[in-house]
Amino acid sequence: MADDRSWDEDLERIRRQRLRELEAAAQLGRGAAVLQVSDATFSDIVQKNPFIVIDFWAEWCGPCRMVSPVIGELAAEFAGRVAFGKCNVDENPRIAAGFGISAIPTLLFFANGMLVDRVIGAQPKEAIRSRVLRAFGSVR
Amino acid sequence: MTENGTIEQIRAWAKKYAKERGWVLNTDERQLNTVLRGLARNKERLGEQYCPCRLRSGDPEKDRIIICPCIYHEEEIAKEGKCHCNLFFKKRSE
Repeated sequence: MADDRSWDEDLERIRRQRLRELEAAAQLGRGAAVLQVSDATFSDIVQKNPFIVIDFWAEWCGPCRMVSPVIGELAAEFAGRVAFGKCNVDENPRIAAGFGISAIPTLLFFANGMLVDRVIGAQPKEAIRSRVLRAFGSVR
Repeated sequence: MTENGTIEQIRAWAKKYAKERGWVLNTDERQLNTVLRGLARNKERLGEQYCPCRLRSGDPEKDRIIICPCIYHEEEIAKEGKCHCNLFFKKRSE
């Protein structure tokens, strides 16, 4: 009887572990949504997400278009650990001005509501990933 | 002038400006056209070809420094091999 109970517990543990893996894989496959950040929603989004990277961009900025798909890929990769958002500076100039952003694309990194890092200009995916890990060390 | 006309006018100016300095324009046509379109839109809407990769303050006097070619481009090209907005590039052989 004791052996049977042990078997059941082991099977249940394996089943739960497998379920977690499948959920993580599904999340990665469909990609986590990149949050749309506006002047009106900025504070709320930064407060609700302990770790968040916000991409400040504009439609006719060439380098912004290079960074945009990278943000989508990193959002999928870090799903559940780091949130990613996008803020169109033409439509939402207040937040960008408030953080002294003068050139785009600019990525702002917030940890628990505090600005902890910024990246200016189009950087390769690896460079951005390194900055994410450096800024939010505990998400590895 | 139509926006397309303005784009072509800016393209011709940028090509000449780059050539005079021994630079080239972005060889990725898609990226180049995005920046040229951004410059043309600013020219049409705001009266000046403000860099589409920099934020305007709204004060025309202050914003003069970000009219393309902006005050930063020469230093950026010297250091990075290209300007921030990826319009002008150093020639590869340099």
